[in-house]
Amino acid sequence: MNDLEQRLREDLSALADAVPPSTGGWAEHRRRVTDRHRQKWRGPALAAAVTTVLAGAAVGGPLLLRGEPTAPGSGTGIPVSPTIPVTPMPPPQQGAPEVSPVPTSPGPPPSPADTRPPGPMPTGMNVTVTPTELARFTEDGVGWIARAHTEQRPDGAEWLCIVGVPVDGPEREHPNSSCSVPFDWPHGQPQHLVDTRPVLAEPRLIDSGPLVRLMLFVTKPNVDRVVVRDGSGDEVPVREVGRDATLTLYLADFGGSSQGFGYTAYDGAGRAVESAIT
Amino acid sequence: VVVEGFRELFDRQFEAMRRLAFLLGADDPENIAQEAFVRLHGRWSGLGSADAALPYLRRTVVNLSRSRLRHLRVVRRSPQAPPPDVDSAEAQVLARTGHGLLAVLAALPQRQRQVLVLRYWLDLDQAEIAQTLGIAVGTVKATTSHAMTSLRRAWADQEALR
Repeated sequence: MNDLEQRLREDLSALADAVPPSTGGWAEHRRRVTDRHRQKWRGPALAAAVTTVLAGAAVGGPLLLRGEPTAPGSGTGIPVSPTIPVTPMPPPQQGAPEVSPVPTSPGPPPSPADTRPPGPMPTGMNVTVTPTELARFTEDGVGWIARAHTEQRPDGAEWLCIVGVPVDGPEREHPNSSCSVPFDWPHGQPQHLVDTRPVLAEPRLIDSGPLVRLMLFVTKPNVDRVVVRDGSGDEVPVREVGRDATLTLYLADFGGSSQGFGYTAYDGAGRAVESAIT
Repeated sequence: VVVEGFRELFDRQFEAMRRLAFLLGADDPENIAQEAFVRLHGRWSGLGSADAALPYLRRTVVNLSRSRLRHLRVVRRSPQAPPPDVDSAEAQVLARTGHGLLAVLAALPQRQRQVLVLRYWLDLDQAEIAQTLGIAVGTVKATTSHAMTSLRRAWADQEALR
């Protein structure tokens, strides 16, 4: 062993020894194992439902998880708030609140004000991002297409709509279809540059296809690209699916659960302008 | 129910896994070690042999530590003016020890850091490192060589600044 190796070995040992010993490690381990068992025995349906809620909302679900009233656009309006840490392994020493998966009821159907009926665009609305296909899925033997578009409403607000339409058949919308205003609802965080939406995640659970893997990222114009990582830190594929003067839509495919995801948004100069970990 | 043998392994290895996570750059080594043991607990009966437990733990800790981003508990916005990371484990130890190695390790590519820590702290051989990182033995050799070159240069630069 040469001097460099010897020095490295000694320094690494000294560094490791400087880490103060843990207290209550075993008790914390038992708590975590017990929590996992509890979740496991809630049953597959609930687990799947929770996965959907967490996958779609990651953190943004606090409104749902807390049972607060739904707001317009609740069907797709589960934005991920970067300010609320939700993680499968929260650091107890930091006192961060642990958001445990809790049973959620399907919730009320969207109110008429939340969704626009199918058919021609009503007067006063302009489609700003034309409907773009996000994914296809099958439910009860019926093939559906999940699409996203944005529309400017008479009051000037730009709404993001995620709508399910049948592949073949009468023109109608899937009950999970709805619209919401990015950045404004429900957390009212207009200063953010990135907002997220699950794809047709509520109120019906659709876990047999690709929808639970997907998340739509909405960015403001000064964001040039967004890098998304899953809970393991691996980058996930992201593709732009729509753009207008005020918003860009990216679809991220996590290939599995999006729980614990993070993102970094970059401007045109390649500078990171916003990042968050859920 | 505490799985047979598991408690002993926890007592023997928990601190080591915490320190491994710390040396790999994780900001929350306690949390990573805990998560690794929870995952091991869930797979205990399917491991095949007790010998597989420690490699599984090491691999899990390395994977969980892989991305600093993943484990940062401080949400950072506008990174042009990031909040001081004064609460991180690294910062605390750095303040306490004044150790230059942490800064050097932090500047290395992640894979190089992993190889150095596994080789010179855990004393793993090249085959074990390859297994832990899921890479070829040849890659381990090359990465170690590059890492040592980087380390030599960085230490020389530090000496020159003193």
